[in-house]
This record gives sequence, structure tokens and C-alpha cells, in this order.
Amino acid sequence: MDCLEERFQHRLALERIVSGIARNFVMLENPTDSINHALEEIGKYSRASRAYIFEFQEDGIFMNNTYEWCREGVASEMERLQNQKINSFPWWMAQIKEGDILNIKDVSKLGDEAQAEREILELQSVKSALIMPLMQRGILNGFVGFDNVDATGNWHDEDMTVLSIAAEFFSSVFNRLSAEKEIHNAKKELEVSLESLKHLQAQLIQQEQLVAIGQLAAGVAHEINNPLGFVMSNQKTLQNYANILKGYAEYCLERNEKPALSDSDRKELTYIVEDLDDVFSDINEGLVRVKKIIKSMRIFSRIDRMTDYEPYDVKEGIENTLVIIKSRLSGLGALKLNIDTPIPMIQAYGGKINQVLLNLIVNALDAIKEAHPNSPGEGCLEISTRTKRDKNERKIVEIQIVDNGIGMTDEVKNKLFMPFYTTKKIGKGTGLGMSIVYDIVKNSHAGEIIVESTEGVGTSITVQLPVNS
Amino acid sequence: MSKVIAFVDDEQQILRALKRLFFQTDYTCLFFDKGGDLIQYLESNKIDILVTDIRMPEMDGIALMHAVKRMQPKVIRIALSGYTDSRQILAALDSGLARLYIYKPWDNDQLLSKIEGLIRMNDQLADPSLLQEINGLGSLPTIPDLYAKITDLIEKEASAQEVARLVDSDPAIAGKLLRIANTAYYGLHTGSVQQAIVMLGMSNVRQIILTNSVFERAAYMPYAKDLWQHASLVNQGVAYLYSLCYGKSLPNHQGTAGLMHTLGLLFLATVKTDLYLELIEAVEKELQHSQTDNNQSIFDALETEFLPVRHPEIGSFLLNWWELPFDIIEVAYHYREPKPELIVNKELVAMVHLVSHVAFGLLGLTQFQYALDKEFCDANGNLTRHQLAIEDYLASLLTN
Repeated sequence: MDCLEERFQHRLALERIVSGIARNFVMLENPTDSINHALEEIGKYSRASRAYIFEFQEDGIFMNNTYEWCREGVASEMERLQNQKINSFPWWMAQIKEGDILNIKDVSKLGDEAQAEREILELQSVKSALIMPLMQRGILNGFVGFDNVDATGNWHDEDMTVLSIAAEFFSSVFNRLSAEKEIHNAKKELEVSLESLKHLQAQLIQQEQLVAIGQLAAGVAHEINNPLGFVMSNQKTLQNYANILKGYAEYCLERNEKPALSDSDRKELTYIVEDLDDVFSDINEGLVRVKKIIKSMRIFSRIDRMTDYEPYDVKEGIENTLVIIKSRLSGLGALKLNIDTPIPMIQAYGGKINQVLLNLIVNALDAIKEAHPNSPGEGCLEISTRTKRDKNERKIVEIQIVDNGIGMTDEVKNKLFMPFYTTKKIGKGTGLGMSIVYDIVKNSHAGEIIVESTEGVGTSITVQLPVNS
Repeated sequence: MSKVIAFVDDEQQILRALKRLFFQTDYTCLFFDKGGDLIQYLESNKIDILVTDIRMPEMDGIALMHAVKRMQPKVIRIALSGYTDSRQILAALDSGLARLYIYKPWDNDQLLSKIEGLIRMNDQLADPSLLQEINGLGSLPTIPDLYAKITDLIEKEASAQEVARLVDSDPAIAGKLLRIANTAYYGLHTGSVQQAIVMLGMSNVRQIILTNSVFERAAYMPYAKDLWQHASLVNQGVAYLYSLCYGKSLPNHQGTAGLMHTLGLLFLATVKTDLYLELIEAVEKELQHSQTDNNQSIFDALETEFLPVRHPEIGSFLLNWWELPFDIIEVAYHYREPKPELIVNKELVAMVHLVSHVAFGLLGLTQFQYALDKEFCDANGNLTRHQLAIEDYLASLLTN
């Protein structure tokens, strides 16, 4: 009777301890404390000398003692029990790897197959031990152990059920800890990715700008090389003429008489005299052209215009853009400018508006080229501006660019502002132009952009910009 | 009868400037501001030279050159442009569409001398008696089908992949191409035709294929292996020297200058093997008699005695006939005894002149050696100070 009663009380106590541990684990406010507390509770209950937890490393080769409870007077072993080789204890692992609890009732009775284990335990004077496996996804990941140096056979077989529940609680705590760690790492990785994506985005936008500038530069180089070409050539020619005329002048000065002219001399002199005015005017025109395009470039690309929000002259902006891309306009059938004067200045990031104008006009010209590849004379580009009030009664300036190019299908129209969407051949477009235009108009300037297009007929893009921010 | 030059540019001021420049010359000059007008003119008239801008409305320079090439293929086509899109330009030069490309702004004197040089070389090589002599030596090598097909692809701006596929369709040529590419171009170690095309550029690949027939036929001739080794070394050496002097890499369309410059010799070896061997024997005998320090070009002196036409003329004739870039033709013609007043691209000729001389010396090919014109080398790139570096470089290539 007493024995049963005792065993019943014993069992009750254990269940109470385990449910206490379970409650603690569920809340898990402080994992380290909860685990240590659990070790202590079970350790004390079983009169163990030491309780410990070993966790396997990711390489599956080594394991470390990570938690420990020692009875008063028992020395701590945790520090030296790091980087233990898992396969030094094959019997041990084999017993617990399916999730079973290992109850070593008497160390001295361990057989030959547990040689290594017996040696180690006897070295520490352990008489009996209880080992609970820590499982993660069905694989052994570590174990919880209770060593007893005083007595053998402390655990009864009927305790095993309760203990396996305790083992599962331990396992779930470690699983939860590892899951939390994974989430934390994933979050860190995402943060890093986000940073690099932001970097990438900034780089791409900058690249797009450089591509635009590059295209610009090519056209501008041509625009400057032509006038420079004939100016330099004419200047040399002028030197020639001057030498010839000098010859005659010196002759006259020396001899004080007019030189005798052969037919070829006469021909040459006549040519020079008739040509001289033209040479000077050609040179002058050429230099003026170079001056003009450089001025436009300067205005167009002032860096401070990118970040300064200040008054912007829409008419001037359109005119400058047209000067910059002049070479692309040659051959165009018709270029109509309907600038509704006066246009009020608008508050804007001038450099960005220039970028918008450049993008839209170049796109229009490309569309025209595609529609009329062999007959550019049929191409027609019309740029209009007007002042009005939008639907919210804000005063706005409207810039409309109309072309008779290939137009857009509904699909293209819908994807027009999508980053990287392009209908151009590889290498001929980054697909970022329109998304940047969209960003500049809508986000940087609180404006609107309206697209109308018919496939095979043409496209009209209207940009509305508020006069005041 | 004076030569007729047609100038085409959509800018009247450019045409006026050119008119003034050419006023004092003996050429008959015509000026058009539209390509279409010239095409119309050509329907009942002939011209000798075309100088055209590239960027023009309605009909651009490339289209115009194609049309003129079709209508009157003998016209020398020259591009004069401020357009800096190098891809289109280089493609035109590479494919032989434009013989010369001059940038705006130009230097009046240089423009004149370049055009004159081009005309002069062209006249010399178009001389019917030269053709007769060369025909008399042996039949001209046939142009492989592959070459025409590749030219077609290049003009359509095909990708390296497409061209590689075409070359791979002829495994013999593909193999040879790779072998030639790997030995004649520094740093190229590839088993992939496509990679070779990308690294060499399509035009160089095309030229290798074109001239391969000569290299092939000469393969078993005496000294052919040596001459081939020499040509590969010079090709790499010129690229190296160019980067030493100018700090950038050799322009693509000059990339085979070293490889091709002794083509005439190889051709000679295949069509007149006996004469060729006799000539070399005679040179060797002469070398034994004269002092070893005497660097006179014994080969050149004897070549004139043995042959009606010398190998530089033969080589440049062939390269011209195949419409290779003008720079390469000039090099083949002038590499041994460069006469500055006759040469347009003096810098390139000087480089090949120096490197070829060094290479002949290094390989012990004294029979083919010629005297180095230090003055010419220094006047056109200050080259002799690099001579030791080139010797070391070529020597290092030999040991690898």
C-alpha cells in the first residue's frame, strides 16, 4: 500500500514539475532562464548531480554543452565540454536517435558496445543517467542529460511517458529558438537586399541619365564638328588667300606699279576677290552656331538645375531641347511649334523637366522613324503649350507632344510607364525613360501625364505641370 | 584627263569650304547636297572618287556608298564625317565600303595628301600591266564562298553568334581560323569560334578567311612555316607597339596589318616555287660573300632581278583586289623601303617596318631581312626607343 501511495505521489510530483516547465516554455519570455529552470527542477527531483544540454553543430560532426545545472558542491564541466565529436559516442546516439529516451539504470552494467560511453561516465563517477533526445524535424539535434553519482536506477519505467512529454517540450523550445534565429537572419538578409536594391535603383537611374547624355553627346558632337569643320578649313584657305594677296601687295609696294597678270593669275585673283566676303561670313556663321549649341548644352545640363526647385521657363526649355537634338530633326517633314505666349514660369526642378522633354521628344522622333523609315519627309512633330486650370482649379501649364509615328497598341499603352518595359531592340533602350518621366512629373512635381495613341496613326503625350508647388 | 571627285554633304558651307580647298588642284570637282542628285548624275556620267558625309537626311552616306559601289564599283569611296558613332563608321571601313574615313574637323593639307595618296596607290595597283604580270605568275586565289556569306551577314549587322554558326558549318575553316587566331593575336587562347569573332572583330575574321587560301597553298613551301611564324609575331608585336606608343589598342580595321604584310611572299612561294627558291638561294649565297654587318636589303635588290614584279606589289595588289582596308594595303606595299611622301598612314607603316625588321632578325631569317630606316621610324611615332622592348616582347612570345 505505502509503496503504491509513494509511487503515486512521486508520479504526481513529476507531472506537476513537467506541467510547470511546459507553462514556462510556452510563455518563453526568457528562454535561457526557462531552460535552466527546467534542468534544475528535473535535476533536483531526480537527485541528479548534474544536468546538461548538448546541441549538435550544423556540420553534424561536433557538439557543444550549452546549458548546465549542477547540484550544490558539484563542479561545472560545461566549459571543457565544447567541440566534442559526436561519433565518439555511437552507442549513445544510436539509442536516442529515433526519439527514444535512454535510461541508463546502472553505468557499470553497460556492455562492450557502449565502451566509450562507459569510460567517460565512470571517469566522472556517474552511476546512472537519463538522456532525452532533442529532435528537429525527425532528426537528432542534441540531447538533455541527467547524471547521478549517488545511486542507480532512479527512474521507473512508468515515468518514461511523462519524461518523453518533457523531452518533446525541450525539443519544441529548441526548435522554436532555432526558428526565431532563422527569422532574424532572414530579416537581416532582407534588409541587406533592400539596401542593395535601393543602391541598384539609384545606379540604374544614373545610368539611364548617362545613356541619355551619351546619346545627346553623340548628336552634339556632330553638331559641333560640322561648323568646326568648315570654319577650320576656311581659316586655312583664308591664310592661302592672304598669302597670295600679300604677294601682290608687296610687289606693288616694292615696284610701285601693278603686276602683270597671266590668265591663270587673273582667274585666281578674281576667284579670291569674289570669294573673300563669303569666306568671312561662312566662318562667322559657323562660330555662331557652335556658340549657340554650347550655350544650349550648358543651360540644358546645369547640375544645380537637378536639385534646385526654382522658376523654369517652359518655352526656353523646349527651344533648348530642340537645339540639342537638331541633328535628329533634319529631314523631318514638319515641325510645328504652338507655344501659347506668354507662358508663366513654373516652379520646378529645371534639369528634370529638361530630361522629361528630351525623353518625350526623342521617343516621338523614334516613333516617326519607325513609321517612315525611308521617307522621313512624311514625319510630323507638333509641340504645343497652353495655360489652363485643371480639374482641381489649380493653374497649370500643359505641354503636348504629338507625333505621327507608329503609335501604341493598348498593351504598350498600359505598360508604358513600367520600369524596364521597352519596345526597342536590345541595346537601343533601357526601358527606364518613361518610368523616370512618370516619376518626375507625378512625384517630383505633382503633375499629370496623359497618353493618347492609335496604332499606326500616332501618339499624343500631354504633360501638365502646376505653376506653383 | 583629270580625275573627277564628287563631294556630297547636306551642308552648303561644308561644300563651299571643300570647293575652296580643291580649287587649286587639278581634279575636276563636283558638289552635291543630296545623295539622290549624285545617283541621278551617275546614270549618265562617271566619277573617280566619292567624298561623302554620313549623316544626311533622305539618303545617308552609307546608303549612298552602297549605291555608288553597285553602279560604279571602281569609284574610290571616302567618308568625311563629324559623326562619332564609331560602330557604323568602323563597319563601313571593315567591310571595305569606305576605303578611308576622315573625321570633321579636318586639316586641309592632310585631307589633300590622304586623298592623293589613296588615288596614287589605287592607280599603281590598277595598272593593267601589273595585273598582267601577276596573272603571268599564276592564277589568283579564288574567293571562298564563306567569305561572301560572311560579308553579307556583317552588312546586315548580324551577331557574333550568327557568324560563328556560319563559320562552324565549315569545320576545316573553323579549325584554321582558331589556329591562326590563337597564334597571331596575343592573349587569345580559345577553342570557340564565337569567342574568336568577338575578340578579333568580324572584319579581321573575314580577312583571315579570305586570305587563308594563300596561307593554305603555301603551307608546305620551304620557309612557309618561318614566314608564317614571322607574320604572327609581327601581328602581335604591332599591337603591342601601338599600345606602347598611343596608350590604347590598335583599331580593329588595322588588326591584320602584321599578318598580311608578307602575303606577297607566300603567294610567290605557291605560284612560282622554283623562282622563289632560286631567289632565296641567290640571297643566301650573296649573304655569305658580303660582310655580316652589312644590313643592305640584298633580297630586294635580287628580287628585282629575278621577278617582273616584287612581292610588296604583289601582296598589296592582292589585298587591294580583295578590298581590304587601305591602311593594310599601304603597309604591304611600303613595309620594306618606306617613302614618306608616298604614304598616307605613315605611323602604321613605320610600326610594321620596325617590328617586321626586328622579327626577321629574331627568327634568324636573314635572307628576307631589309635595312631599318631609323629616321622614318622616329619621324612617325618616335619608335626606335621602343626597339628593345619589342625585341624582348617578341622573344617572350617565342618561348611560350
